[in-house]
Amino acid sequence: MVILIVLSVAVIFFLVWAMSTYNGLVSLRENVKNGWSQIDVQLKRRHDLIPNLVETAKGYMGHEKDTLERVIKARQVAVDATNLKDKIQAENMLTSTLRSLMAVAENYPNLKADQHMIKLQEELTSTENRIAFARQYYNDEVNRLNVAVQTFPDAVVAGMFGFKTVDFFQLDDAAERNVPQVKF
Amino acid sequence: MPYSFTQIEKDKTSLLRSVFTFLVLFYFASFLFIYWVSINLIFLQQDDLRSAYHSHSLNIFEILVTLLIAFAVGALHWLFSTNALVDKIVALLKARDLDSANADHAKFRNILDEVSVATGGIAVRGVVIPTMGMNAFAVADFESTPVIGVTQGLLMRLTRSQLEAVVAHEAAHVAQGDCLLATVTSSLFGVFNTVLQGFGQTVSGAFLSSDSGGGRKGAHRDVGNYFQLIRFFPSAFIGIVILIFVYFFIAFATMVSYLFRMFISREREFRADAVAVRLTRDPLSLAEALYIMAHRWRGAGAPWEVLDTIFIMNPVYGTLDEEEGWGADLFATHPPVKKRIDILLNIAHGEEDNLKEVMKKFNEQFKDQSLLSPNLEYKWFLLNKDQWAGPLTLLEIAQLNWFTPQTTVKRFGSEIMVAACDDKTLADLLRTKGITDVQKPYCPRCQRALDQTLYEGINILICVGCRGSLLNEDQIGLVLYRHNVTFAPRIVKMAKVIETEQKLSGGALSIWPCPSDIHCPKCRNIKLPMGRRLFNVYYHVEIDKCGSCGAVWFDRDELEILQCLSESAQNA
Repeated sequence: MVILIVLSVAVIFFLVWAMSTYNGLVSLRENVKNGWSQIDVQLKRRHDLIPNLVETAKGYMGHEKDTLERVIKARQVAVDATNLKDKIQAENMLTSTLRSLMAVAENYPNLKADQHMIKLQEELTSTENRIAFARQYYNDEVNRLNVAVQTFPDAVVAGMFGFKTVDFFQLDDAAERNVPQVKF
Repeated sequence: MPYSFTQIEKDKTSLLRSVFTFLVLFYFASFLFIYWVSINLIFLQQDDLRSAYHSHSLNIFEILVTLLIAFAVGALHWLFSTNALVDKIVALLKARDLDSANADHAKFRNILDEVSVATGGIAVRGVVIPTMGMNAFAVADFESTPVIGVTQGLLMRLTRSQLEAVVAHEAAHVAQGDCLLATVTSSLFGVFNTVLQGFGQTVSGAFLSSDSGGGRKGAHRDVGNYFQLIRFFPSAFIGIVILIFVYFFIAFATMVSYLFRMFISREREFRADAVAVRLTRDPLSLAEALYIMAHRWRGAGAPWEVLDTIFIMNPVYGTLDEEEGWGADLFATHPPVKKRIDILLNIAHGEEDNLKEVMKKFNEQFKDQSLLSPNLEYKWFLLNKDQWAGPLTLLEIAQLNWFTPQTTVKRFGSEIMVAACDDKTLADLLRTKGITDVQKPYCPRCQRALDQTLYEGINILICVGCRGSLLNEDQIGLVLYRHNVTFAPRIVKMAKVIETEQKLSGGALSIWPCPSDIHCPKCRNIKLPMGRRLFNVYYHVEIDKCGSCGAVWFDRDELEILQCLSESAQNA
């Protein structure tokens, strides 16, 4: 009789624990998804800023057609990219073209003093920061999910309901960590 | 760590329930206690004294009614305090919404959005307090979007990464939920503070009427009257008892508000610092920002003292914050700045010398504030011993270590000299520095307040009772310099007598002071009485000079005699 009571209490306790663990894992997984979409939002914001930037720059540095065209092409590639690997590669290329554009713009003091350009530069800085923070948030949430899925008691529940570890948002190939070549 | 939006919303509901329950229970317990004590102490006195005294135990009906009343009172209090709280506080602090045309505001909005992305998307509204002090705050209530505000001074002077660190700290408070707790509890229990003050004043006014004629006698008379009243009408006694109970209730409520402050304690500030570092991954910037804010004027000036908790750094200087120990841990709202910076430097593997470098560059960059905001800054000249320093801005004045409420100041563009405590803006500055008795001095002979008079173009303090005057060291030189006043014949006569004595003594007289019988009315240094001495070897006028602040007390005629002597010496 006593054993029955003890057993049923243990089963209830287990069920309650399993339920709370499952709920925790679900919210972690949703956080990861949220983080991922955040990155997309910020990347899109960057894509939308670039045409404005190129137009403003064209007014002052019309001779630098090369640099400007590279930026536009890189942006198009980034917008069209679909799978994760292509996306990461395209975004890195875009960053490096923007960087070279800014470096060339140093030679045009009129461009730097232009009010519109100052505003755009602030927006660009902000966008780069936002992308960085979005990636950081995503990686942090992925970290929490991975830890929860793999540590002992919770791993049991995770295995039962099919929660898996997720990859971090990082460069896949170590070689690509060098400054990427801008190739089309 | 509840970063996500849904988590914060969920926490809000549970917080709402628990704080409201606590409030109702608090009222319930207090009302029950008051009721029970009143029943037992007061109303039973009217009973037939022959029956045995038994304490009246409360039946279920009384308890339920009290609970109902407590619930009603609690609900009213709650609605009154938390309704549109964020808007109230923002208006109280005179903060303004962001203007997208302003580059600084646009930068601030961007920083807010960046930090919001880092936290996973909490919605935040930004405001700016138009003051040149450097501080930041966060408030939240149950319905509105949380608000993070910075001062104009902070926005203009910190670099982008430092601003981001400060905003991340405030966002951490919002995300952790203690912003909501702090705002709501300050509002709920802050009202008791003001009621208590008002109550105390009314009661003491009733019993200790300070009419100028009666003084102490008046008070005794009033209390005596009241006791006469009780002899004839015993029920008046009930009134006084209930009054005492209400007073203790409110005092108890104020204690509870302090207990809640304990909740919103130093630990939460440390945790917010840690979360800010986690959000920005940049501990050095936060250390720099805190260091800069600690060394410059933080006055945003919270009008209620309970609002101190919402700021990143206490807007009032020299409070319990800088102490260690369990007493300070209980009642201080912020941790000591040095400890916060040390912890951050530890994480950043940085040195304090880096911070000192940053501070030096900062001071060089913002030496002349008028370049940045010509219409926000007044300037003053300050008299330091004999030299006029200035023109100085409010911030620079706040930095000076020789600035006291009695420093002589002159507004830029005006020739009128006043003591710093009499200039409204500087008096506010002094108050933010924690100097509370920015008061007028009292005559050491007659015990009445000294009045300011313009004498020889300089504002000095004079007692209209005994014609004694109080001057700063620097003011004496100025008075002696001007020769506008003609002296009465008796002054000239006395001056002649002293001149003769000076000649005869040949300057060999000792001018060492002996202790005077009065204390300095200016610095009110009770440990050190003023020194009675001759003015100097040339002018043998007896004066009282304070050893700690240098102020000089001239009894009747002494100042005029001194002037007379000085003029005749110059004419000779």
